[in-house]
Amino acid sequence: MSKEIRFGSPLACSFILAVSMLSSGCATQYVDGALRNVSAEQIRKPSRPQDAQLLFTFQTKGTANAKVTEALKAEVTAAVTSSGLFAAVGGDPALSGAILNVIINNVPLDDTAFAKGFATGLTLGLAGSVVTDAYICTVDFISPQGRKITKTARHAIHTTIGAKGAPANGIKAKSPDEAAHTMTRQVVTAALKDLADDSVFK
Amino acid sequence: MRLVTIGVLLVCSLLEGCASQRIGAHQAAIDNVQLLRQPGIGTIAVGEFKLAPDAPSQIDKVVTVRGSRLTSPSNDSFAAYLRESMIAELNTAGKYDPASTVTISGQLLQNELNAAGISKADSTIEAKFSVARGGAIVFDKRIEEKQTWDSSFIGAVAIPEAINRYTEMYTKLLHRLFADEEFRAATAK
Repeated sequence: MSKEIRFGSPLACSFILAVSMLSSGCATQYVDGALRNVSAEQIRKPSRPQDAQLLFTFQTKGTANAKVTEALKAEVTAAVTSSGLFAAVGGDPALSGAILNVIINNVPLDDTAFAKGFATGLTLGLAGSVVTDAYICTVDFISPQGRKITKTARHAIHTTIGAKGAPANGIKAKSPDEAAHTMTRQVVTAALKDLADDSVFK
Repeated sequence: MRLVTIGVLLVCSLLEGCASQRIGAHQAAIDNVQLLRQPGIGTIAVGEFKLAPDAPSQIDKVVTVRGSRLTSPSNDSFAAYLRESMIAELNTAGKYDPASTVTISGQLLQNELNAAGISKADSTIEAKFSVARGGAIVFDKRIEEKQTWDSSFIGAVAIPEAINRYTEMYTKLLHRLFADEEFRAATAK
């Protein structure tokens, strides 16, 4: 015997809520506010910028994540290009022989993230939770002579699920995609600013 | 009944992504690029990469992780993916030249991903690489990469980790090759 579900019935409401949870409609991303935008004007430019070959890898817990690397490569390239630190930036070997290697490593701050999300799902969002993903950006500049300068910057994205208020230091993103791109642009630019401020980098 | 049908279809469509997916395109790694960029290594052309004649054809087509099928974005062949990975590394290091008299080719011998365990997972990829210089074989060697990592009982944790680890196996396999002293001698200028 089949039972028809009517809109407005408790079963239908529960079902719709469950489907909404599955489709991530209840998750909201906030880019951490501690690391502010660094504008191109704030980055000290070298007197004679040289070209550099850009390599980028996105890692998840230290393991290369090829799909996310592909998705964020253009954002990283744009951030490096707009910094004005290099005459030309590209994936091909640079004429000068310099390499700029950018790694963004996604490190979950809380390993119980899955359990939290699962509990939120079981209670149909009534027990909300917040999960924070930390990102460590490491920028290595390797000069044509093989000298290496390393700079790091840290950032975070907070995701609230279910009935949970906004984190105090979070800037709401319109979508997970926007959060990821904003975080990437800000963390790479921050690391590049530190690189530019290093007296060894000219 | 209409709502139930729509709901089932919606849930099925949400879960569909778990059934089969292609791994991401190979990205050159800094460690490999730096090995290849060393002045002693000459330019290299990339020849044919194929499944070894006595290897089961399935290993070239698919690996599985807890019911999810992983396939190659390179012509649905992991041997072809290995070839594309080789080209990406050489190209990024400035050592890829299709007209070079030194040509590397390969055969895929093993391709395994085992992530069904509740706490451990592993992967093995083995290939035979051959380097020909002016038509004569100057290097012919089996290179194997094997990795074991801590996994999870929970598929939502274990599956993405296994996909990333598996994809990274190609970087590690090529690193073993590029660091091999006999390979470096065979590809020297």
